[in-house]
Amino acid sequence: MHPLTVTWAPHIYTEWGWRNFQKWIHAGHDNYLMTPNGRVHRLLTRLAVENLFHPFQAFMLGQKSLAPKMAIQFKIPLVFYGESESEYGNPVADSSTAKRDWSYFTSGDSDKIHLGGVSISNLKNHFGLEEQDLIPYLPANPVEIEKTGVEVHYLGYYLKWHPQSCYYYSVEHGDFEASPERTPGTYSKYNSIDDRIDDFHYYTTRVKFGIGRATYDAAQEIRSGDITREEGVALAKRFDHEFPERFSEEIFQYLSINPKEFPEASKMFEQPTMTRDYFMQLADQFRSPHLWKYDDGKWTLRHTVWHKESVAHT
Amino acid sequence: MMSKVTVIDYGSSNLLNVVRALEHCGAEVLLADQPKAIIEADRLILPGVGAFADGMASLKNKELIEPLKSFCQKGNPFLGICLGMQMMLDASDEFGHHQGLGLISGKVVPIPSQGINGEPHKIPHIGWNELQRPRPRENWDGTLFAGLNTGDPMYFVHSFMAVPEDDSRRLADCEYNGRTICAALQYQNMTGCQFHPEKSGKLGLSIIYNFLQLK
Amino acid sequence: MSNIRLIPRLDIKGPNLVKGIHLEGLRVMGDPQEFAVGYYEDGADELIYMDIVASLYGRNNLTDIVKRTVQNVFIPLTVGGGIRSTHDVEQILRSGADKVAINTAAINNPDLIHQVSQRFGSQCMVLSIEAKQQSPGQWEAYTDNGRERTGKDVLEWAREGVELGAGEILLTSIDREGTRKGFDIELVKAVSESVPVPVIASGGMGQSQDMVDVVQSGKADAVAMADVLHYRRMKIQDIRQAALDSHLHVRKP
Repeated sequence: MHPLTVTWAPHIYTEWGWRNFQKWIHAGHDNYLMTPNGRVHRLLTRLAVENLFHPFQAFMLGQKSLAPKMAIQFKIPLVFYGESESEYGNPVADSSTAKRDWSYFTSGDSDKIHLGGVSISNLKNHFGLEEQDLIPYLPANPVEIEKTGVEVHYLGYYLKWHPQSCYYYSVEHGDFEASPERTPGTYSKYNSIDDRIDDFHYYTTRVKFGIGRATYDAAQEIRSGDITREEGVALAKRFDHEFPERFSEEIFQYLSINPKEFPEASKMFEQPTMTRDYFMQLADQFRSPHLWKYDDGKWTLRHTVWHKESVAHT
Repeated sequence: MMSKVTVIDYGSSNLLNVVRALEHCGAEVLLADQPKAIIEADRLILPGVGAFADGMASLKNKELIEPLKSFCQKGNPFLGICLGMQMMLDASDEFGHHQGLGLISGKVVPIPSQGINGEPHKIPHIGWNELQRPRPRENWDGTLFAGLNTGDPMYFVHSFMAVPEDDSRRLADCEYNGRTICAALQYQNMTGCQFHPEKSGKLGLSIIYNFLQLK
Repeated sequence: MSNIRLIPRLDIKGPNLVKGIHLEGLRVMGDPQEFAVGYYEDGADELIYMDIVASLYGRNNLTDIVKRTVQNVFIPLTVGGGIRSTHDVEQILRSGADKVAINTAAINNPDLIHQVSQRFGSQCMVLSIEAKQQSPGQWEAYTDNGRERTGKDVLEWAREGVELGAGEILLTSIDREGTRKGFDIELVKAVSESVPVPVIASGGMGQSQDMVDVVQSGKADAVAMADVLHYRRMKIQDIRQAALDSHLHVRKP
């Protein structure tokens, strides 16, 4: 097989992430790297944080539509993505088939589409964006998909998805390097390490869903038999809540919509400059009451895996 | 019949390792921290790891020094290991000057910090080193080293070394960058090993086995 | 001179022997006891046991495993992971270890090195350093199995540790660990020439020549190995023979 590999760039590469990307190419792959317009991407990411507390939404939409679009471009009918989203808590029904459901990422009516919680018409009318700016985030044309016969499959449907084995394989065959330090919010340093905003993605899942990155990682490794449940619980307890300090200043700057770079859009924000305080204020707005309670001046989770009673409920 | 051996329990951290090696060799092991049990032992082992002064202080606090000397005068088999061997001598220069048991004349001094060529070498002396037979000894027959050959490796960990007044007390030596280090002492019923027979694999265990055969 | 020691290193998590790459992505290998006895029978010079999740739980888990192992293993055993006090050291030594390896607690409280060497002798106090290269000739000490930075320069920390009483240094290269690409010779040489105590080189052994290189060029006093043994890529007897063939001073079989 001679697959063409395509990559949707991280928001801001980590140094080791960039080196690993180079190693990927030099391990013997052609690659198209799509790097979205920095200002558009920042704005959409900021909106997604503001409205959905989801710093990865713009990335995910772009990444999901990129490969099918490239497939149409080069008339390559078979597209593979890695693991299914159900590995991260999406409905298991998603993984009953190897193929992606087209209804998710094709749409005939662009007015019904929202990006970062804002409709496309609003983005055009009030945020200074143009049709062209949004193309990378919009789904492939279903007619074109049909014509080329593009099918998107998940590799995880055919091969057991085991991140640790992927790590070993990548080191062995691609000279992959682990991160030089533990990723904040978890204990590991080998998966999802190429984007500086990644730490925040998992920080926001902890706020919205009560589970942080250590929980995702540990749950995965427990399922794979790499660690025991007891260890996983201890890891989640120790790391899940950790605020990602290391790149925070850089990320807040990335998420700041200043008047110079964004003359129109900056007017649409109550506080265009993202700060730690403002970010935490947003976080508190996204804490679901059935997950969080406010006691003695601080937020605590109602249920954690290290409480015996919550174990009994599972 | 199972050989009975008494091991002095004065807080030495390698005590249980010595016990395990003895049991592995088929001994029935008694731990003793009382004078009476020591005086009445069939065979006695003094283990030891750590600082000379601390070891002697522990023996003194437990009032075991005199019973130990009495046992040795009885003529029954006695084995000192590592610090246990160093304490058999009169005195040590480790962190000050400290008195030993005086079972064998001589003292304990630091291993020279340089090899014979004048180059500094690593202290402590850690690792496997080869036994040599000090002249004029012709063989190890009738000693705990019966069955061993020169060149057999034993495990050493120490920064100080024994210097007996009478070289004939040297049962074995080893060489560390040209410096001769006393590896074992023997006088009458008493033997001392600077190395750890309980950590020296099968050859080390053979010394312990021999000790258990002594009458 | 003293023999160069060949030391199987067993990283232990809960009841299992584990192995990673760069101390990461830990795979369960099996029962540490079985491996340890096998290595003793094959003529290992010493063993190293590291409880690599000890600092996570804030306790050392190894006393039971150590007790079981020493029943049948009569060579020196160094045990590390989660040791925080002289009381912990005593427990570990009492369960059958000969030396303790301390990393995190020594970083947090360097005086612990002094306390341990005073109480149990410096021969017993192994300073464990996890080193990651920052720039040519410069390495930073890490803790928590190569996950947390300390800001300490490895060479300075090694010297400080020895001044405080460390009798030996277990030097692990995070960059090389589990890669089978050979030891970080520059690192080992730099540390070995900075301190008067023995240095155990750890991390990167892939073939016998790596051992020869780290001893001859890196001035290592002992060589720790894990991957090549745990995956049964090589046997200790073969490694020892290769050392003898290269005229290294190792224990004769």
